[in-house]
Amino acid sequence: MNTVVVTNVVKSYGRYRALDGLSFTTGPGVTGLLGPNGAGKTTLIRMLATVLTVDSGTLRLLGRDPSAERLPIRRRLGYLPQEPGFHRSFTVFEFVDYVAILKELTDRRERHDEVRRVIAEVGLAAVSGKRIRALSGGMRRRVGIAQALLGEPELVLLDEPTAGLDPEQRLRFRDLISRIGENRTVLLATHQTEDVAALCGRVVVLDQGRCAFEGTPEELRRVAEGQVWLSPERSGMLSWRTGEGLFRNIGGAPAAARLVEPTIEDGYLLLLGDAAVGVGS
Amino acid sequence: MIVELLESHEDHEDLEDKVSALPVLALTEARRLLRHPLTLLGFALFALSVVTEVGDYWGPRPAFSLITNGMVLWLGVLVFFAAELVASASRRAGGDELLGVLPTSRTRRTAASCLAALGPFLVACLVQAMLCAGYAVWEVPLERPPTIFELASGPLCVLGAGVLGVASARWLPWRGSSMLVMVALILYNNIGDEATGRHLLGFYAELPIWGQWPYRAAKGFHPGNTDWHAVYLLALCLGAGALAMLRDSPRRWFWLGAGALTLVLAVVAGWAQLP
Ligand SMILES: Nc1ncnc2c1ncn2[C@@H]1O[C@H](COP(=O)(O)OP(=O)(O)OP(=O)(O)O)[C@@H](O)[C@H]1O
Ligand SMILES: [Mg+2]
Repeated sequence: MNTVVVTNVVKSYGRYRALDGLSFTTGPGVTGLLGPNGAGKTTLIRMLATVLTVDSGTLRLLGRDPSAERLPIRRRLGYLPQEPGFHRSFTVFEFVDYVAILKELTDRRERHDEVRRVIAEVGLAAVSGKRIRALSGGMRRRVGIAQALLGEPELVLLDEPTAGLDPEQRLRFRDLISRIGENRTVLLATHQTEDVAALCGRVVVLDQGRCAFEGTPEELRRVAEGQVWLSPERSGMLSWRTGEGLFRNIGGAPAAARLVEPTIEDGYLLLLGDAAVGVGS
Repeated sequence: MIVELLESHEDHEDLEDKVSALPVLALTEARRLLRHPLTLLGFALFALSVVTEVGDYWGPRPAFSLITNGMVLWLGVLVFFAAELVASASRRAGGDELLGVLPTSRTRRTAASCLAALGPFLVACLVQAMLCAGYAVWEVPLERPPTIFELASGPLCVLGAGVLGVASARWLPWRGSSMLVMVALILYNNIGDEATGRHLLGFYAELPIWGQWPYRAAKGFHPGNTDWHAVYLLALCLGAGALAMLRDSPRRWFWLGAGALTLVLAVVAGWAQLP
């Protein structure tokens, strides 16, 4: 079943079209949203989170139309904005508890159990009495993830959830999210192709407000199959020096090159071409 | 940001959120308001003024002032700022987007913040009761015992300050706007002089006459009806609440009507209190 159906969606800020006729569908499981800065990932996530409305086109979330039935969707939604902005004088527990109240968890005992559960899930139990302003950036991010998981929402939208997490926490996050994705829909916008490879069953690549790719991470990887080379010399724009002193080149074969297995990142870079390295339009 | 605020205008659907969340939320907001450093400072300053009055300048005049309008300065003023800061905390932190998509509507949040002003009000009532008991125990000389309406005027000002703080946070979302509101309140408070009794239109209304030094001597009371003064203050509290609710609620006409009604009551009571 498709829990998120986006059809021909257009969204403009003034004259600028942030989303330009975007269409894709996804269902239960973890879907990664990749794309360069300004591609429209946050704009899309905000629309799915009922923060923004569409200019034209249609959205269906969990089988409902958000322009007509906002509240039932909001009741089943968990959302982490790209820049959450916390009340900094709250402690971790107080903040998550406050969100839980606004999520209509009115029974005190049940709510506190749920708050403790999500705080433990993100590994913050030890600092739950600490003020948010005293936390590190990565810990604050985890507070944001915790509140998004309150009440076991069916649709979880996370905008750059792993930005600033240390490797151990990233691992923990992947484990947590993949468990949630077993029966619920998780959409995460990210710049971390490794997260997508490790965690996502589907991936959507946005470029200039359009869908540039929709498929599995393996399919995205295969976009670069037979086109990734290690060579002693640089060739073209999609080329960088690796730790061993060789150049990793994506595209045509340079001289004295050795073909290597592509990664998702290679597929992504090849797909976006110049846009990925910041030249062209 | 402007785009987003426009798009998330609330409609009637948003009011189908759980009403039962309101008391829980109001309690949480009341706790936040009561624990705010400015509120705590306000109560501490009031306690300090009680101690200094008792210690140094005890006498019928200051004792009567203390127990009637002593709470307006500084407790009322500080509760206004505390309420404004608590109600605007998520906006100032950039957290409105996160909270805005939760099922509890902004209207419900505003209602909870207004109800939370009952927190400092009830504590002020308690403090007032304790002070009355203290006066009785220590047999503090008063020219006459204060009426219940005169006793209520202090806590009512605290209540109004809390609710107006919320209204100010909702309608004037700019840095420093609460200062401007306070300046306006002070200017309004200085309306009319005590001789004509028109000072009752303000909030920090002195009831006993000060006279010449030593101020502590009993000199009688300014003219005016203090029963109606309490009704006038209550009407202003309710009006501030209606004003706050009017900001986001889809029930615009309801809150406009409620606001108009409280305005009429305030005008009638405000006129009736004058000598
Ligand atoms: N509130 C806004 N007002 C005007 N333009 C905006 C606004 N929000 C986003 N944009 C523009 O819309 C485009 C898409 O922005 P969006 O934030 O969706 O990108 P993104 O894919 O999330 O980028 P990033 O990876 O940097 O987070 C950008 O060009 C941005 O400048
Ligand atoms: Mg973004």
